[in-house]
Amino acid sequence: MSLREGLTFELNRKVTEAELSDRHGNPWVHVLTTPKVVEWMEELATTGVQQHLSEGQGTVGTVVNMKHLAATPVGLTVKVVAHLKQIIGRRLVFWLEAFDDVEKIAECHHERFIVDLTRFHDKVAKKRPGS
Amino acid sequence: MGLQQGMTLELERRVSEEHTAHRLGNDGFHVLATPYIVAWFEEAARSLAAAHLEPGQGTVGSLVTTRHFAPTPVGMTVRIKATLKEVDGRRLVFDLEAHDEKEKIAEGQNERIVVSMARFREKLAKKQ
Repeated sequence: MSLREGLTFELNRKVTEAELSDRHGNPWVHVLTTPKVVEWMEELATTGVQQHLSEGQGTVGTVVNMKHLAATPVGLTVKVVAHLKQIIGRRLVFWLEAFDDVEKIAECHHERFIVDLTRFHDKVAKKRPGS
Repeated sequence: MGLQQGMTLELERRVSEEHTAHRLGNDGFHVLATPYIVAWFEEAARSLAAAHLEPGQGTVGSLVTTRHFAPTPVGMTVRIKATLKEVDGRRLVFDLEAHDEKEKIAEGQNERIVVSMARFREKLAKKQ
């Protein structure tokens, strides 16, 4: 495992019709939705650390505290930056920020937990309906 | 605006493969992804507010916090409950919790701001 504090990751996404609020049930607000920003942030944190984990390990999200500061219309590009701030045993603490072409639109405290895939799957299997 | 502290709204969603972390790029995790909990939290809070707004008003999410503490496999139903905790002018604060068929899986808060849709669209148009 080559994980260390201070790692940073970045991704860029164009806001298309698919990311608009009205596709998620807010019929009057044609802007990038909060859950979509959360999704991009989690995706970045997840894929960023995955390459630094040992075989058979993955991460699950445990905490998302996000401030959505500004609205982003369709057509703009959003840049998400993740900073791995702290490693406390298996707990990973990230600070993430998102910017559109005009301004900062969101910031987020995010935590993930390193899990052993086999053990995680055993636990989930026990919870399945009928088991 | 008839919104009052203590109002509640519940909704249920069935977890299918499209809601999994695996589908969002976290390979092998066929369990409910946190962003969907966030989406359902927002949906519950927004729906609660929407029923009591004046014509021409809507809400936008400004803050969302989620603690996700248990995995939920595909096939289970998740129950989301929103409670309006605070009304402070145009600012609404909701407490949220999610249970699957076995246990409580997440809790959080969503802060939403009541906006005039016309003014919101004008502001947005300047950015386009």
